[in-house]
This record gives sequence, C-alpha cells and structure tokens, in this order.
Amino acid sequence: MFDLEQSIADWRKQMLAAGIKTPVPLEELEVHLREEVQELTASGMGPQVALAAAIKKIGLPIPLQAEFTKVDKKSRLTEQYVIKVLVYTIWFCLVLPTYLYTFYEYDMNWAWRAAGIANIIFGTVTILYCKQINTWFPVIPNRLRRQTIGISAAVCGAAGMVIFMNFILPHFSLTMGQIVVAVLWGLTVMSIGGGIQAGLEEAAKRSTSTTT
Amino acid sequence: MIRKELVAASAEPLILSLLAKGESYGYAIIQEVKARSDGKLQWTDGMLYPVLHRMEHRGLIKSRWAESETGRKRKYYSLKKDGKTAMAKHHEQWSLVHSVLAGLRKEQYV
Repeated sequence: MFDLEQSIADWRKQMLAAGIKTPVPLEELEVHLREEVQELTASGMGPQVALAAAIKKIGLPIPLQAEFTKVDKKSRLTEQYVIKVLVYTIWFCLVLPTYLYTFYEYDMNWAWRAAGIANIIFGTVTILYCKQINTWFPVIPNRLRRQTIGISAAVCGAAGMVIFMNFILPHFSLTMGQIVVAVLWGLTVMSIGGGIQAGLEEAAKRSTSTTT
Repeated sequence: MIRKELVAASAEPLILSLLAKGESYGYAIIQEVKARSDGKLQWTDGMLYPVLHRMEHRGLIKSRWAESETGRKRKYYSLKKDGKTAMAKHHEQWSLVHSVLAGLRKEQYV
C-alpha cells in the first residue's frame, strides 16, 4: 500500500543527504511538493504517480543544493569581508598606534617591552595569516558538540580577561606603560577564545559547502 | 520550449514583474509564468527557490511565512524598493533588445 507521508519523508531524507538545509529551504520545497501533489491528484492522478511527477519536477537534490550553496557562499563572503575590515581597523589603527605611543612615551624595562613586542608579533601574524590558521581547525559535524566547545572557548577567553583585569591586575603596582601591555595581552587572550569559536564554525561551514 | 539560457536570464525580470502585482509564493509564481507563456516557459520547479533566495539576499524582495486560507503554510515573497528599481532597469534592457530585434526583422521583409 502506498503511503504518501512515508514517501515524502523518504524524499526529505534524500534532500537532507545532499546537504539541503532544514528548515530553510527544505520546508519551502516540501510545501511546494505537497502543493503540486494536491494539484495533480485533484486532476485525477493517483497519489503515487502524482508524487513521482512532482519530485521529478522539483529536480535532483545535488544540482539544487549546488544552486543554494551559491547563495550561502555569497552571503558568507560579505560577512567575512566586514569582519576583516573591522579586525584590520581595530588592530592597525587602534592597537598598534597605542603600542607605539606607549613604547615611546613611557619608560619600561626590557622584559615588559619584549612582552609588548611579542603581543604585536602574535597579533599581526594571526591577522595576516588567518586564512591559513583557519585550515587548522577540525571539522566537528555534530552541531551541539561544536557549539559547546566553541562557546566554552569564547566564555573562557572572556572570563579569563575579566578575572585578570579585576582581580589580578589591581594587586600589582604597575606603571602606565606596563598596564597597557597587560591589558592588551588580556584582550588578546579574549580574542583567542572568540577566534576558536569562529574557526570551528567556519570549518563546519566550509565542509558543508564543499560536499557538493 | 524556450532555451535554457533564456529561461535563466528571464527569471529575475519575470519574478520582479510578477511580484510587482502583489505578494506571491513559489508554486503560484511557477504556475502563473507557465500559464502566461502557454507552458513554453518552464523552470525546473526547485530551481526557482535559489533564485528567490538570492534576490532576497540582494535586498530586491522580502519574504514572510503565513498560512493560506486552506491552512497551508506558505512563504510569501514581496517586492522591496530596490526590487522596483531593478525591475525598471530590466524592462528598459529587455525593451532595447526587443526593439533592436524587431527592427532588424522588419528590415528583412522590406
């Protein structure tokens, strides 16, 4: 006996396997499929034949997914561009000038200066080579696991920064220059946490768009 | 049947012009284009949706989920301001192609 609901569920599985995402666009395609089946059965066609015809008209999952991926890719490119401009501006127009000013204006011993320079090198290299660094992140297909790891990393980074600023830093009597170096390293640690989260998400997105 | 390339190129101006008449959803858009072209202009049904999503992403149209009078959930699309501008541009370009083509054709019969 033909079961329309079961057959539609099977079709959904095929679409999901090709990487078509739910709820959008899969729900929209399913609404379309049901509408077509209803129209065809109303004109006297049997449900099984109607469904087969409707599935054929909607098209094969892989070419469809390839078309949807084009949309995702475009939006991802704009998003990445905005982030890039933001990071470059913060680093090169804000952090680097602050460091240069601090080095020039305040007296610091060589250990502190070295810590500052290490931060500059670390930050600049990370920003300039973020594309390569991105490829180091593993693909974690399970969304819940990926987000748990990612968000924990981001929270750890932020918490580390808050603890450092509020509880550790006030116990030392630092000069102005030393405070700048310490705060900027604190911010760097926070960014590493956020970076890990973004990197894991990016790796997962990359893997879904290359499967087609 | 109309060639694949022409079908693809005409998708955006047709969708924009159709939505200019009022909001609509995927299935109805396909049916209307089919009816208006006597079935000669046919998309692979599913391929309409990536086109709609792209247009939405570019800010030409917007969408909302709503229930039809029969209780069926549907995603309705409607035109945005940028979509109207894009439609005018399309019309201008297609008219130009059409007038050049028609002019040349007329000369063949003179």
